[in-house]
Amino acid sequence: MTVNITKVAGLVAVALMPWAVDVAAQEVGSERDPVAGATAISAAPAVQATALPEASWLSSGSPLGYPAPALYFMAPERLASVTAALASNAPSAGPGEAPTEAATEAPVVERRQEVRTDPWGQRRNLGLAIFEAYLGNFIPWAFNELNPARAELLISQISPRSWWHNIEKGFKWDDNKFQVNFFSHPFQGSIYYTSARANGYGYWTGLLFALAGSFNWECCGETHLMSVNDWVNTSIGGAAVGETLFRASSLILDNEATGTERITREIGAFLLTPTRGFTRLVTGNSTRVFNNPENPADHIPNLLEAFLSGGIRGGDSWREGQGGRLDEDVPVHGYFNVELTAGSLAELERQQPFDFVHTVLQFNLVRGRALGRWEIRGNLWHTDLSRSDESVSKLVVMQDFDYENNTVFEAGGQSVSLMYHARRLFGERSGLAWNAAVTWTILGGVKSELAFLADVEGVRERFREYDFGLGPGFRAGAVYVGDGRRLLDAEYRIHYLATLNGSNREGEDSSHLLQTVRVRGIVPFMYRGFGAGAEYNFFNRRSEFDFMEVGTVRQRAHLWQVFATWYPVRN
Amino acid sequence: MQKRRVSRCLVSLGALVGCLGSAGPAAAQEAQDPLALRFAFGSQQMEGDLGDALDGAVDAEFSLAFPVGPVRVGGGANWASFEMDDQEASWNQLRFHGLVGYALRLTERFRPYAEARITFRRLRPEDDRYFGAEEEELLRDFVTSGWGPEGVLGAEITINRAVAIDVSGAVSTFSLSPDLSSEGLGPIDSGQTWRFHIGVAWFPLTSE
Repeated sequence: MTVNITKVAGLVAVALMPWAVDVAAQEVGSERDPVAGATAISAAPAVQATALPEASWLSSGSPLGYPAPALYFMAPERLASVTAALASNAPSAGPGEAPTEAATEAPVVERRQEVRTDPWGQRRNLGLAIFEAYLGNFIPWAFNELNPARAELLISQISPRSWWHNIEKGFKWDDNKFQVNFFSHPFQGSIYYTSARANGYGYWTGLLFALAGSFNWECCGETHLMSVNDWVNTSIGGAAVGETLFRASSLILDNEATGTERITREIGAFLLTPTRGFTRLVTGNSTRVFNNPENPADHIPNLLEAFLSGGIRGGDSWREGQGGRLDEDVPVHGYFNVELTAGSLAELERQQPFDFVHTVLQFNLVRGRALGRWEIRGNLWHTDLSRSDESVSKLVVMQDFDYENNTVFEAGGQSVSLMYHARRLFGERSGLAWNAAVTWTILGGVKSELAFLADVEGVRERFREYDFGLGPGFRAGAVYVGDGRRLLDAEYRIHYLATLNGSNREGEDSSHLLQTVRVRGIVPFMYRGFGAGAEYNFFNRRSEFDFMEVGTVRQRAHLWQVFATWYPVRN
Repeated sequence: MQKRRVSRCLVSLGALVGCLGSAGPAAAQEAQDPLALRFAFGSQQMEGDLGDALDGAVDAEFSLAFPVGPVRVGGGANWASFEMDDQEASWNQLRFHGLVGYALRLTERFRPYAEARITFRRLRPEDDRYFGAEEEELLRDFVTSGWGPEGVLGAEITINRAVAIDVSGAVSTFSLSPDLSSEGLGPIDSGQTWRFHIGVAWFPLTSE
């Protein structure tokens, strides 16, 4: 048997082609990865089991002499024939002979079609994404139905009749607790959002999923009338929370890891984004060893800062109106803080939402208010205004998610901002970054004295203590970094909320002007990223109520915290 | 008597599905897609004891199924709201089901199937809380539940490899526990349903 060098070379070229185009596509920043054959990715686990007897091929390079990932972007039947041909040195068909099986593979090149995958190699799968989003509604509904404590609420008695009834009645406002509307719903929305992200889609498709998934729940997942506040918070908040969790799970995942480390990473990612874990499980990517994303922004960004702190906090507040003055204390209590910054606003290159994301989660050791604060800032669009070795200035459109809940005030909401951002370096490891932004609150909430008047159609379950509103605002902030470590940061924010539902009953108007100041100083220790610091927060609210001539109510709150921190920086 | 007849039919259908599944050739295995999702609307008619009290209803159903050998195995849920005969009141029915099914790929476009199901249903007077006092309060709030078999015959008419129109008919029988004597409805403790569905079947893991 003679070796047909030309044919082997041809087969190798065919096999290499997807890889070459794949590399080219990644170089131009495209998410479109060409895949030869319609069933390449979905059938890949079977391919791995049958045609790739040694998994080490993929981690240590292919014995065939071409990049191993090409194997994964090849139709299984062609992969089988290529490997068989190479193994047996199959001769080509001679004149007058029927072509061999391998020879008939040549026209496959013409059948090539493009299959979209994300940087993690996840093929776009609309059906699976919809299924996961649907499961995100089915499971809470089943929980409401089968859990006796939840069944008492009688919200799970759904049927086509209740669906039609809800759609007929349209959107109303609800009276759920602040943490339900401004934390739980966005968290639920993250399930819909990540259903799309986990299946190869980007931010904007994920947002559409969150809108649709939330609408589906509002109309058909419970007998409650549809809540417009739920829809906005679940979808827009869900996109912010979902993308943050998705990015966080990307920090954990490693397609090249094996053994116990791989299992641990996959479980960790599953816990952060169950939809992504599920998708990787059913498509086989959770056990497959293959390349990580080439762009660090998709995996572990070049700038990654974690800020973990714990300590004590306390404060006080007073409110004053026509009826007099009310003083309240925030009892001293323990807390811990998780803060993560991934990516650098100044170094943003591609137009990919949330390549920069900053999030703060604060947990308080206070009964009933365990989650004290959650803040998310992520970029949606950006452009450079100027750039030199020492300084950068740019315009950025940001998505903001805010949630703050303590014993003296509740405030939060979904907003977008147009931000001027500048950074100036002093030497290699020190610098100052500052920003100023005009903001628009799409839907916000703030604790208000007359919110119990809220016009809530349907069954009233409780008296709401906060108003819903929207309006413009402004914020400015600065961060000083010395010797590669954050030393000082400060932020001022002012925003106006015109009440949409709450204290504005019976046509009477109400509004809130909110101001916050946050200043934090950190003293780094010499030892491995440890440090100590203090933070001061000021909250000021000026509410105007037309209702029953209540007039103006002012509130001021001072909150302080002292903490020890560990904040490693990868830069 | 009627209930026994329906039960016998359903057991026979289950046996048929089992036989088809066990004797299924490789071609039959190909007819089972990696994951099947179905969402359908239809009409459900109640007969038997409960049929005397409840009118027919529009219902909705969701199912998913995975291939296990030559058959599909899965589960789902069904929702319906039955109005009561001669009274301004309604009953909510929630039904979970487990299924074993067998699909034949007769042609590229036409795939008839049979399914045997075990159902668990919860019936209760529908709470008026969210319907704006449009109905009279009839009964105290309670839930009665019961098990029963269901047989389904249907067909998938494929639009492409991932999507099909799903048409099916089904009959089921069930027993409730406890009976509803204490609710003033007499010794009602069972019923049969007939239903017809049309919907969409989706095979999300099937390549386009």
